[in-house]
Amino acid sequence: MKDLMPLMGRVMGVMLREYMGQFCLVVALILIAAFATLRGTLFMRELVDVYIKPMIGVESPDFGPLAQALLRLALVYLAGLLCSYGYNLLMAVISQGTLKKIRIQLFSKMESLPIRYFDTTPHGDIMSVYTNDVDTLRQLIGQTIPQLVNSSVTIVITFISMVCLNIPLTVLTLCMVAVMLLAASKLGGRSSPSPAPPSPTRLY
Amino acid sequence: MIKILVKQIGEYKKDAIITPVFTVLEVVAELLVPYAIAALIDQGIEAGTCVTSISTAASASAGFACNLRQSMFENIQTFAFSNIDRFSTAGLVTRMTTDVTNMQMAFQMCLRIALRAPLMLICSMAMCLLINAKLSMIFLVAIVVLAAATALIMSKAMKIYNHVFHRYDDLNASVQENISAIRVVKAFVREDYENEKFTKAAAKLYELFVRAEKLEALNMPVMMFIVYGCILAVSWFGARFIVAGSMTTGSLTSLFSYVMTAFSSLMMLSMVFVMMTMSAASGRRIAEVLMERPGITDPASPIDTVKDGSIDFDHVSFSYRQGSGEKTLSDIDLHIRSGETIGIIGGTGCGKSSLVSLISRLYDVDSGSVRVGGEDVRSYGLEALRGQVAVVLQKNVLFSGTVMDNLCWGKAEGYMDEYRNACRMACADEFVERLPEGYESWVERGGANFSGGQRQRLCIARALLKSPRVLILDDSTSAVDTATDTRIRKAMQTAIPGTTKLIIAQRVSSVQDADRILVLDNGRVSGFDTHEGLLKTNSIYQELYEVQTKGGGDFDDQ
Repeated sequence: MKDLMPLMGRVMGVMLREYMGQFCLVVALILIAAFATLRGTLFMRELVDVYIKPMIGVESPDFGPLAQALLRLALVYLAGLLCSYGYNLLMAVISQGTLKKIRIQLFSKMESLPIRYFDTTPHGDIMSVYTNDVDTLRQLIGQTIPQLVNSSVTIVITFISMVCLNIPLTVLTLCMVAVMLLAASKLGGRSSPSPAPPSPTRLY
Repeated sequence: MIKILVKQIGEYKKDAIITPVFTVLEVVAELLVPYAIAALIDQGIEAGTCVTSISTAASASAGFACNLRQSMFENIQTFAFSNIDRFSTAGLVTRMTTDVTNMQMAFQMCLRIALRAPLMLICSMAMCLLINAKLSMIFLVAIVVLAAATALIMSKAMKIYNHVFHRYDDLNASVQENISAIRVVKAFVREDYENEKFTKAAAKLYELFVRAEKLEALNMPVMMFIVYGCILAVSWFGARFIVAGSMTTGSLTSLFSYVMTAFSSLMMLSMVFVMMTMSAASGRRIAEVLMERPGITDPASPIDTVKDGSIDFDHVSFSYRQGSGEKTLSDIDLHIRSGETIGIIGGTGCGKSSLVSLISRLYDVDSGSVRVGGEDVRSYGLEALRGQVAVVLQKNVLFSGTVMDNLCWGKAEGYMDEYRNACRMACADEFVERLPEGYESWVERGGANFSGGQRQRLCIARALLKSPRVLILDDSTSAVDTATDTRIRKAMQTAIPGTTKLIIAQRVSSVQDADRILVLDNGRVSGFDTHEGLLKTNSIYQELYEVQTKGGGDFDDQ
């Protein structure tokens, strides 16, 4: 757990060196997409209060404002949709590109190692670096990182709206989150004991 | 294919069944939440079942992966060379690692979500219909469109994934080749060339993966498009219904919450589909390995003792690829008596090694038959046959362990005297006994800390320890100096007279004192006689002899 952060940093480093621009774009697109989703959620509240209630019981209800609002929402949704498509496309390039880079780096590093290394390291271990370990990274880069960005955005937005709505309840929620994190780190720590698993092809 | 894979769940069936049960409970608990006032109690139930279903799913899927790996490995162990040639070693490695991991992930997802999501979907759809049947028609249309779009995308992506795993094999082949042949790469300073080759393979894989993932990226916006479309439509028509008085605002709100639940489970479902497309390709590849029947199997009622060391080839033809027409051996007809020493000589690629590999049934003949001890090799149990036909290959392999461990490999238990004897015959005693730790000395991987000649001699000793009826030395003394070579042959002649000895060699001097010498030329028998006889009648043999003795073809001989 302790050396997780520098490790993540290293993977991110490889990724950012090559795809700095694209990654920033991805973050921006995720932000927009998240805002679009949020806008949609907020609209649900407005729908009843602002648009529907005033029309109830009116002789000849005017659906014009509602139509306009829905059209605006549709545009926001469209933007959100395009953004999320965009970042998914970009992520495909970034994650696979990073993996390609890591694979090539691994290989050329391996080629430069002295023969002693090959004599003393089980060949299965070297093989499994390329197969299992790089595959795990694929999961990390392709899914975990976008999720991380996405979730952090959501957390920040939710937190801000929570603070706006009710401060004591927010504090209570934060305490519960702390308990949850504690439990999660305990459980997470248990699934990866500190000494490396002994078998060359490890399950994860 | 699915049946074969499902069988591998094996003893983890309990977990695999429990998971869906817990999942159902979980869904029920979750769906009850909006209804129940005593929310706290329900939350408690939900959390409990959720944790249990996650842990049983994890246990079931990890167990599944473990079973898959184990039975693949077991099946691979039974493969004949022809089977392994078909899959390629790297292909097998990818299948055992990447493909199994994919299956494991997919299985875990399936157990948890594949049931949960549709259940949530159906339940929330039912709630929607209860609330307002007319409005709910929108979702039904939406779901049909969505299903069609997803199916289209997935079927396209699937095709790409099939290619992806082929590339994986190539990539792993490149890695594996370089790991095992690193000495050659280094000696020829070909690192840059190999790097370039690997880079190309990696780039190809990248291209395919990006293509597949881009296709899948389309899945998300399509889904969002439909979800958002639904929300907009529900808002519009819902507003109309409310204003018209046929619906309340309260039911609109709960309708929305059920719609959102329905769609979030749809999204999860599509995630499962993505995993499934990837794992379908993997699953097929795994099933291929599991279904592969070894090309060489024991007969129904095998003979388990080899009577004597006589070997007969009756009009044998053989090719590495059946039906290709390229015959490696054609119409070989030989009869060797038990206890004879036979030299086999001929140019490279003339079929010497192929000939002897038929004796221990590493491959099966195309036509004709090979008999050992008077019986067709196909009627023996493989273990019995290979226990009695010891082959010392051209390429000698030692395993990491002590010298003793390596010798034991040929025979399970033995006495120190037997080891010493075998080593003395193979002239391995001279260097083994000089080692500081003798027979307990450590052998590095592949025997890297022994010289080629030493390795060869240890391998001969290993084969001798089996006390076989037939001993085949496939150019196994090539790295041993001529004097030692002669001593090994002399020792064998006197120590194991009953054993039929086949000696493949490049040097005429290695075979000239054999009882008879077989001269092979282009997969055919050119001559089979004593040294003197061949010198008189066989032109190929004459030529070889001339070149090697007069011209000093082998500097060892001078």
